[in-house]
Amino acid sequence: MEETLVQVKDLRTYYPIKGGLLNRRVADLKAVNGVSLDIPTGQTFGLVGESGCGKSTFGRSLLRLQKVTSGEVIIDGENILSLDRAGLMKARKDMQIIFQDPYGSLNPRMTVREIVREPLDTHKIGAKADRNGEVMRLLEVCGLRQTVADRYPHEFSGGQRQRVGIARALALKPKFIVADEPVSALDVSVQSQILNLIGDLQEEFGISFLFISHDLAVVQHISHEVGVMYFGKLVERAPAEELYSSPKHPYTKTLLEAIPQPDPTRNRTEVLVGGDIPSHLDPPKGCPFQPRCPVAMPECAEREPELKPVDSDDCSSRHQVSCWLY
Amino acid sequence: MSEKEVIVGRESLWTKSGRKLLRDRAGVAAMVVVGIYGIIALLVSFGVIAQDWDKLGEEGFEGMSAAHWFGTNINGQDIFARALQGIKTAFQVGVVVAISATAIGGILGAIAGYFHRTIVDEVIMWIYGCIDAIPFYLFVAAVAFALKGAEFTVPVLDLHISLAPYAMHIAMIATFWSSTCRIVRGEVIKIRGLEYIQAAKAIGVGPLTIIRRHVMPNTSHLLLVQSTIAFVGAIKSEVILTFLGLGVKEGVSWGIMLSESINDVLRGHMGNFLGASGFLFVLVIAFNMFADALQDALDPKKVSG
Amino acid sequence: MTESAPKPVLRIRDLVVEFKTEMGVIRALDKISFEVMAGESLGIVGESGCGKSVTALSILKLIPSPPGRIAEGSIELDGIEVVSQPEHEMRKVRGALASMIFQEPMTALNPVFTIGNQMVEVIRVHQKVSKTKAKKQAIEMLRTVNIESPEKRIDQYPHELSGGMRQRVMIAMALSCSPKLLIADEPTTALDVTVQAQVMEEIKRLQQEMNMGLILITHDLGVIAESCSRVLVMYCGKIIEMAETGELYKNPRHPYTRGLLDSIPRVRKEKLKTLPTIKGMVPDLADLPKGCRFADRCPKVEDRCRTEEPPLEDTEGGGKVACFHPN
Repeated sequence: MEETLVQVKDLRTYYPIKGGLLNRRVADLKAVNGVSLDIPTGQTFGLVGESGCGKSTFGRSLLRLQKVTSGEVIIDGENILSLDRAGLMKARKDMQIIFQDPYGSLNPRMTVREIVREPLDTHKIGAKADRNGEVMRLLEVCGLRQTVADRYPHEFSGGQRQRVGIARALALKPKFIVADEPVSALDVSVQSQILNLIGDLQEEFGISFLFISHDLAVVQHISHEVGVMYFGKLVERAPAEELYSSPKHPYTKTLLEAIPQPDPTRNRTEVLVGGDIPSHLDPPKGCPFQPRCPVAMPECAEREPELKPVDSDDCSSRHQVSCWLY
Repeated sequence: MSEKEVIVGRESLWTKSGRKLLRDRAGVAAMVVVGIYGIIALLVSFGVIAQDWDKLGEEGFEGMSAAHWFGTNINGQDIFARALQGIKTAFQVGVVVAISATAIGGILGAIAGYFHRTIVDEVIMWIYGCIDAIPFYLFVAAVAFALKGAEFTVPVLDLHISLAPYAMHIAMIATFWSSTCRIVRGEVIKIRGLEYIQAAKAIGVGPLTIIRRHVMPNTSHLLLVQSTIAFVGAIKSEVILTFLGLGVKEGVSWGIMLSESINDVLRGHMGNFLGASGFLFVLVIAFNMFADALQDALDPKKVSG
Repeated sequence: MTESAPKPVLRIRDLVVEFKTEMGVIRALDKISFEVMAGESLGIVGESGCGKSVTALSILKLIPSPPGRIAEGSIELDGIEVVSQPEHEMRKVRGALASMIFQEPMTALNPVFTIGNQMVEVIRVHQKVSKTKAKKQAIEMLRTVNIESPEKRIDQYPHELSGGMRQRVMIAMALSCSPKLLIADEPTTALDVTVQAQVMEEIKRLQQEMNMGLILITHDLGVIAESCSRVLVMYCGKIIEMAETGELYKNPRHPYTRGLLDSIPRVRKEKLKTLPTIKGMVPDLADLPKGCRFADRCPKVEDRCRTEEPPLEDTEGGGKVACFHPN
């Protein structure tokens, strides 16, 4: 049995919606509305959803970069959300993040050396004299030549910047990394280079990843398990092979169907769903996907389904879906 | 190949901006003019030139001559020497006000922006809102009045510094910081949403270090531009305040020359008027052009493209 | 002159576009030539810096100048030579002969005007109609692009619409004067996959209904496969391959096209351990290698590739490829 490194229980992150004359809180935007998942040591959980589904907020909430409303995040036995400042500082060594925007994620006034060195200096890791060597080692691990150390971010291409960002995240030897759309801003030919790098790093250092993406095709090869998020909730989660071979939730099917395939002979088998993601100000009743769902039943508009195993006889099954069809 | 990379590389945004600035011809010309003014100001301060500005001559209202380039004033003092002394006065006020006002505005702006939507931000906004609401000249008059006879004592050295001559400086610093503060605050609100700030937080870098290391350096281009604007503003205000009798009391300023010139001009003697306003005009034009060039060269969006 | 012979709506010959940069003058487009027939959809694919957007902008003479300029070549839009056309004449061409939709519908719409205002303005630039009539036309256009209750939508501001809806509005605006050529520059890149599919369907349908020429510019070979009849692959300012869509996907000739097709993230039957990649990265336009521009990244590189630049030559599949050792 694999060991669980990250365990999230019923995480909720709400943003206040202010309005009215006195700018009071009139409602909550439920960006993350009760998500639970667990990630075993050395494995990757692919979290997929469209913009506004709360996936980025979820990732940032895990690392306490975002104020959480309720829930638990247990990483390596410690509840991150209840740590005090000193405890959080220590825990930060174990959890890091890689960002989407290779232009906004590096300080333009710092050299690559300073950027990768910052985590080492902040946590006073190793002797001062050795840190330089460590920076060089990290650059090499991430496929960058050592000659780039004294250059500035604006002198690099997107893919190289992303490698610098990864080197920075690796500096503290974390056990868990949130990768927030790390390849969506990159050119196609570079995307797979970075995906392969992340895969290699995982193999070499046994890091657990939460890999956030809007694209099911991107996470397929890198994930052990995949979760699909819609409107602040997980609507389906399954071991990667199972999710792609037999998707259950109509939304998952839609997402898979909508990926443009480089195959001119393909005919889309299913009808495309219309409409947009519902508004948080006026959430639909029942299942949030129900207004767009091609197979909605009367029941769907009344009660919201819960995430439960597809095969109700097998409670240990990791394939779970929240849909009244199952 | 790697050989070449080394040559192309290692270029910070600053050196890149510098190169860009040097390619802007109008900017370079303006910089040269400002530089000449600066050198004159230094030479005057160190007593090298224009030291006989208050020497009384036998005859007032002399015309232009080899001895007196701009003629003499009512007391027979050399107008050219007085105008050069005016540069020193102007630069002294400009430098002090620009550096202090920009530093205060920059720091408060960075803090307010970083702690956006907290009480810290509210308080800082409230302070500059109040200061902005007071008419500038009234404010200077009030400060001058309040500081009459006020003394600042340095405890250990037993030094007593009278604050009255600095009323103008204090008033300008107290008002000029607000525009820098507002601009920096806006920029910082933008910067703090960027992912490199999030990355620093994720590493565990403390908020003050984040402000110092990640936020402030990325507002420095604004600070430079703002300080040039404050510099010009301070010089213009100095001349106007002195003209109104609220500014420089000791020494000479273009403002004093201009107020003298009111009577001169009626007598058809233009030396004081042309000397003071000419020097002021050229300096302000050159500095504004320099500020524009600086702004273009420093804009990180244009530079890092 | 027979009715059936398709007429090109766009003919580009040896187009060279240069940009002045700090590194000196770079050639963003280096002698490219191609045609688009009426009713045809042409996909242009390539990675950032390959010149695909510059191509789009040059057709409407929208290259920011300075620093850019059209240095050589000709662009014929429906028989009119665009390159020598003065700016005030170009304004008549834009929208009427050819129009363009962009990647970011939020920034392409002016946030302070209602979409109705902006649509009416576009219509009235090209047609002498009253405001009420133009508004009616605008509502009709919104209906054509499948926006629900267009009477209500027309008085809304851009921020009140979702991303997909805004892109539909952009399409409606672009088509309001029935252009002969529609240039879509990454029209769905900023949209979610489900919405992306809807918008692409819309563009395809309208293109066929109005018998327009379509140039679809994208980095995503997947999008092109589903919407274009012919594809043009660009790399570093050059066309390196051109072929019928079916042929290109079945039998890519250029090693770059091959690599690009392989590295597209797609759902595969088998989970792969390592994804296929193209090694290295796109060279800097200011510092191009001698010979073939792809040589440094090419798995089949030979000595000749490093000294000579391969010309664009016909293949037996009916397409063209610029490679000394095509597949």
